[in-house]
Amino acid sequence: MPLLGHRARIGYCSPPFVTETFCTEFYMMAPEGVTLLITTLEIRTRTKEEVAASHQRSLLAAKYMADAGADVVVLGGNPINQSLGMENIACVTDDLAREIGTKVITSTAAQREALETLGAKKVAQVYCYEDAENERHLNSMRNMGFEPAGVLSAGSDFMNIGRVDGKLALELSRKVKAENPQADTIHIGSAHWATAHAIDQIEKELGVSVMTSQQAIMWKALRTAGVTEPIAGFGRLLIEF
Amino acid sequence: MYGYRARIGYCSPPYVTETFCTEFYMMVPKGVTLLIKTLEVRTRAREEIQASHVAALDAARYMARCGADVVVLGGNPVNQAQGVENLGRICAELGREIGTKVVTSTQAQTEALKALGAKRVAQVHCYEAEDNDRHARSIRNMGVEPAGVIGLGYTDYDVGRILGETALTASRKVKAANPEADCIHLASAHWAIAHAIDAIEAELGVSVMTSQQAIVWKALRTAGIEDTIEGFGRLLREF
Repeated sequence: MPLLGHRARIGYCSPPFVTETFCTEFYMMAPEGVTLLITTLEIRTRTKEEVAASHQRSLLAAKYMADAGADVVVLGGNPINQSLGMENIACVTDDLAREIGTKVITSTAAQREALETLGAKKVAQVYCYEDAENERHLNSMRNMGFEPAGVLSAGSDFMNIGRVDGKLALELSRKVKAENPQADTIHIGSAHWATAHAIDQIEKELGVSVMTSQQAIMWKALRTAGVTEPIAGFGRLLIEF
Repeated sequence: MYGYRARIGYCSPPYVTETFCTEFYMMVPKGVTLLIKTLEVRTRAREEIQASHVAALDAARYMARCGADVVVLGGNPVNQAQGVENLGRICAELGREIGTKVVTSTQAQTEALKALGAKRVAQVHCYEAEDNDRHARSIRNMGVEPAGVIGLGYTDYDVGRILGETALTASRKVKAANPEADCIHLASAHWAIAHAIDAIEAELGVSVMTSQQAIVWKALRTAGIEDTIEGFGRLLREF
């Protein structure tokens, strides 16, 4: 028997100080022979200091992951990625990849590419955090080059995202689509609440494409690592592209 | 939510953790999730061990506030650096403070060996041979007599690169060299061994306790998950 990650070993620098759902959904989606290398970062409440410290820690972790044999490293977290300035992200990942000798991508780049691939034009957003974050999520979407078409939040604080009810992704999606019928895509934001199980149903019921942060990261990491097979059960992105 | 039956917190010593999560989701029943905090161990230097203990206490508090049903302070070296005699007190005090059950890797493995009725325990670990004495001491600290030890010679960086057949071939070797062994301990929760447990037990006529299996077993049982779990040895199937 070969090593556990005989097809691909994917490094992920995971923003939450304690990470739960990303790993769960990773192993729901990953084909056999694909493993996750994870380092948890510093985000507890998403202060500016935590965001900056997380970026620094991810650079160190990326180096370690490359030395450990990761095929690709993901610098996780839209807030962390975008705090560098959208215009600088590619330069940061290119420089880092050259330094550590492994491919490097970001959550933001993965999500932007996923939206482009899905042919998204007007993107409604739902996410798990408090209403106060609406503006940040709208800006994030614009930063990725897409026009936001409505945003709804689930109202959870960061510490409680593992407790978010599994029905919420579908319920919020129904609501945001009803309020914004022009939306052709729903972005389910944050890679750390339970959404993977709902993707197919949302696409089918609401006639939209769905991009979740976790699904987009997974998709981009797999494809970058050369794992190109269709993966059923988690939306058009992983089955068609 | 995904963790509707139990949410298990694990303070994971390796700075970058791979195999523990993979094997966790190979073993656990649906409705059980892992909350993970990676700690500071890169080479197992003394400073890293102590920093990891401090970080684990902080992470345990956070995990409890997140709703973890049980928190595991991971890593025999990290645990045993506190003194084996102190672990019960540390867990009890921390558990009272944070309002969640707390266990350690060392306690999980000690209890697993007892449950399996182990008397003479041969060991295989993935690290360098100079760690053999530490591993033999670690087993004595768990109250059981060591019966041979093999180190496979990997560094912390390379534990994710160990081939799947290694656990079985090394177990054959240690059992042949120590036929009196009634149990084989495959040590470290961070190399790929879960898939080999049943085969080793069946072929060599021993019980197998792996660090990762013992941690998952103790955490599940502490969280009230009593399911019989097939495919990963007697421990998860019979106890």
